[in-house]
Parts: sequence; structure tokens; C-alpha cells
Amino acid sequence: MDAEAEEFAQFVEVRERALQRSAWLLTGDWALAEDLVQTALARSWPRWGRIRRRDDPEIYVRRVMVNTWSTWARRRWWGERASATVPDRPVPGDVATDLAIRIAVRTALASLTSRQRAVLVLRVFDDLSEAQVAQVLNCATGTVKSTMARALAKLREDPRLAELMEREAR
Amino acid sequence: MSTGQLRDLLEAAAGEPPHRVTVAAVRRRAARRRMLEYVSAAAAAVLLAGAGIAVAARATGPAPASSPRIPAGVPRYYVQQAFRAAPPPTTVVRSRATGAVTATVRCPWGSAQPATGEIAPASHQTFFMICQTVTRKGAGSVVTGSRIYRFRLTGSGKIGGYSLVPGGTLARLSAGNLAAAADGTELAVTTLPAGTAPNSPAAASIIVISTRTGARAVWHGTPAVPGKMSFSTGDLSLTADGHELVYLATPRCIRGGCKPTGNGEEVRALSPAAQGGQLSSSRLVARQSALVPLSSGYLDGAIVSPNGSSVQVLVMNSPGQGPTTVSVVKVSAATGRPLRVLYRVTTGNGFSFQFFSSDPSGRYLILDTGPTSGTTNGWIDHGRLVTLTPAAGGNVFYETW
Repeated sequence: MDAEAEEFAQFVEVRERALQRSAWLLTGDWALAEDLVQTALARSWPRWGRIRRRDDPEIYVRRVMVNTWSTWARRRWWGERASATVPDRPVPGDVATDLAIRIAVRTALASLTSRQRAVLVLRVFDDLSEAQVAQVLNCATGTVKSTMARALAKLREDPRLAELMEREAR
Repeated sequence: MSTGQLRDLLEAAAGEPPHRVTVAAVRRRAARRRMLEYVSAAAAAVLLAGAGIAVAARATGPAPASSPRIPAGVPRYYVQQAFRAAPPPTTVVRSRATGAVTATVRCPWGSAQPATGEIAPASHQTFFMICQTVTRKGAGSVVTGSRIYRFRLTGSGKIGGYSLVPGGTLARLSAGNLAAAADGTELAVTTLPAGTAPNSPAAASIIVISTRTGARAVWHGTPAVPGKMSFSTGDLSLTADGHELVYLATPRCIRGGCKPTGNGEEVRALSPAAQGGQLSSSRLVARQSALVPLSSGYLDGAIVSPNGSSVQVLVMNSPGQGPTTVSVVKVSAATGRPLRVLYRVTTGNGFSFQFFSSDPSGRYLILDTGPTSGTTNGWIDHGRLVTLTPAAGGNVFYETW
């Protein structure tokens, strides 16, 4: 295996989990998240020689991932629709609480626009700087800030999320 | 809700992925993608070959009716200066296809306004414009300063930001007739001292500016005084590389020491443009008398082709008997003789004219002219005028793309 291939293998080994978790927050589905990460990596692999020379190859891979997801979201291949009401109610016990958090977060994220969701995931969850998010989304830093502000404002209006926050605080 | 709390919540929600993404799986998918690309390319080639056969078969049949298809390369957006309700005109960007306003052009310099008609296009949807400050609005306004800014349109017709052109600060000068080389490296602009009265004998000069270095060269005009041949300057245009500067001149000879040329208006060229010197040293490219009788017509615009081999001239002709015609004529820069009429419209008794401009390729000309009852705003496509928005061009002052 040459150095390039070895480096790519190492990158996949080390970062696939983080990428999948971000992908889940974008797609709300583990199967789609896995598919998205595989697609992003498969698209990046032929260009890895150039990507690895960059300061941060992960920014490039995330960019491919977000762009691919945007395309999928526009095409709506799976016809998935966000639901305003969640059929399940949380029941006592850790599993149920985890599930409730997952459903509440997924529903709240689904209420955001694609760009708001991408900014939120990259900025809050992946902890990228505003400049890095701007680089991934190919937009101005100011756009990242305003999109982030709008996303947070929208999430603050979500009563289920507020309830979870309150419970966490207690 | 703090971002820290939100991060914790996202962390908790994301949990752990049920499966790993392995390098082997990624490589398999990459290989599959490559194969799909080959298959798609092969399928496209087969389809294109089939279409080619179909086109070839159709070409042998009767000629097709005129198609409204827009040729590739026609600019997608145009910059327009027009009255909305009252002066001053607003400068906007419009989509050629829909006519929708996609952006408003503003001067990034205090209270300065874009000068009317002084926007010059360069390649890649780049434009240069003159911004001017005036002492007061309306009639009697006096220009106190001019600056040249560059802006570029994005793929969606928005303004991608303004920048002051190096050497583009024309302090205490009134500027007009802006032209840009297609590659954007050179500009030419006519200047007068700020506050010059309209009928003053002061001669206009043409300043050629390198947009890379800000270096300037000045072509000095001769004041319209008795005994000296002077040339008014209008309608500047540059070849694509900026080597040759072409302008529309009206030679004037006020008594003694000089003789009227008998040419009428003249299209003259200066080269190399970046050298500077006297306007009187310019070369005659085309003369009105070779295109239209001096008694009944005149030239109202001239645009040099990117390679400098020809000039596209707007010719008005109002013969005593018969209707007025407005023509766009391609004239050889080598001989001054007309080569081809690109467009002609008969306007009846008299005509109205607003403007004539071109894109940087010199292929797509915009013209706003028509009978005295109203003008039509459009671009010339193979001898016909394809209207732009608004089609009635009476309130449109200037457009370019």
C-alpha cells in the first residue's frame, strides 16, 4: 500500500465515527448517514492526493458530505417528511429517555432549513470555527453567523427541546 | 439555550453509529462510481451520436422556421440605468431571460451616484463604473469628483462586491465615456476639469488607466479655438488587449490655419493606447461621408471589434424624402468601407435614440431606438431585435452586458 492509500485508510479509520454522527444529525437516519459518509469518502478518495496536501483534509471531506447531502435533500429520494407530532412518548428508563432525546432533536433539526441544519451541526457539534464552516459551505463568515443565529432562534421556539433542556438542567 | 447545552443534547442524540464505515467499503463504492461514470459517458456518447444522425438527416430537408433559441454565449445579465418614477435613474442588474431585477448597483463612496451611461463591461461579468459626486441635483448640477469602481456579477446576477480601480480616483475631474478592454486590464475615460461649463472651449482629454498598476497615460485634446483643428471625443472603445483606443470624433475648424475635412464625423484610433500624446495624432478609421450623406445623416455610435479589424457604427439617415433609417453597419478598420449591415430599422418621420452598446466579445449589441413615438429596447440577434425588459425603452437611459 502506498503512502497516499495508507493515509486515506488511517483517515477513514480515525474519522468515520465522527463523520457518521454528523451525518446522522443531517439526515436523521443511520442507514442514510452511513451511505452519506461512504459516498463522501468515495468521492474524496480519487482526489486524495490533492486533498492530503491541504491544511485540513477533513474540511474538504465535510464539504463533500454537506454538498452531497444538500443534493439528496433537494432530490428527496426517500420522500421523508418531518412530522410535527411524535407518536411515541418518553417512558421511564434510560433507553426511553435516550430515544426521546433522539426523536426531539431529530424533529427540531428537521424544522430547520438545510443550510441552518448544516451550519448548526458543523459549528456546534463538529466545533468548527465560523471561518471553517464558511469554507465548507462556500459562503461568507457573516452568512454563517446570521444563519446560526436564525437556527438557534428557531430551536428556542421548540417546546420539546426546551423541556429536555430544563430536565437536563435539573 | 446555550450552545454548550445544545452540544450536549446533540451529542446525546447522535449516540453511536451501529456500523463502521470501512476503507474496503469506500473503495468498493469508489470503484462502482467510476464504472457508473464510464457507463454514463458511453450512453451519452451513443445518444449524442444518434442525435447527430438525426440532425444530419433533418439538415437535408426543408430549412427550419426561425427558432427563438438564444445562442450560447449571450450574456445572462445586463446592467440597466433607467427611470423608475423620477430622476435620478436607478442602476440595476436584470436577468436577460426573465427581466427580473437581480441586484441594485450602488456607489460605495459617500453620496456618489453612478454616472449615467458610464458603465463599461469586461469579460467574466465584470463591469467598471464611474461614480460621481455633484454639488446639487437636477439641472445646474456640477460634478465635483469622480472615481472608477469595478464590480463583478455572481452566477446568480448579484453584485460580488465593489473595488476602487487603482488609478481610478479622478480628483477634481468630471469623467465620462468609459471604456474597458475585454480583459479588464485597461480603461479609457474622457475627462474635463470638474465644474467645466457645457459650452466651454476647454478641451476634453482621454485618460488611459492600467487597472493593474494604476499607471495613467493622457491623450490631450486641443481646445476649440480659432486656427486649431479640434476633435470632440465620444463613444470610446478599446480592443480586447487594450492596445487600440477608438473614439467617435467631430473635427472642428474655427477659422484660419486649418481646413474643414469634409468627412463629417470621424471614427479615429489611437495606438498604442497606453502611450498618451495628442488627440490630433489619431488615425482616421472611418468617416461619415463614406457611410451616409453629410446633409441628411450622422453617426451616433462606434464600437471597435475585440481584434481591431472592424468597427460597428450606428448610422442615422433622415433623407428629405423617404423615411428615417437607423442602421448598425460593420465597417472595415483597414479601409473604412462598410462590410455588412447588421441591423436596420425604419422609423418613419424622424427617430428617437437612447443608446448603443456591446458586450466584451463585440458579438451581442444592445440598441434602444425607434420612431419618435417611442423606442424599443433590445439586443441584435442575426438582424432582428430581441427585446429586453422593459421592451418600451423610453425610460431606459443605458444598458450594457
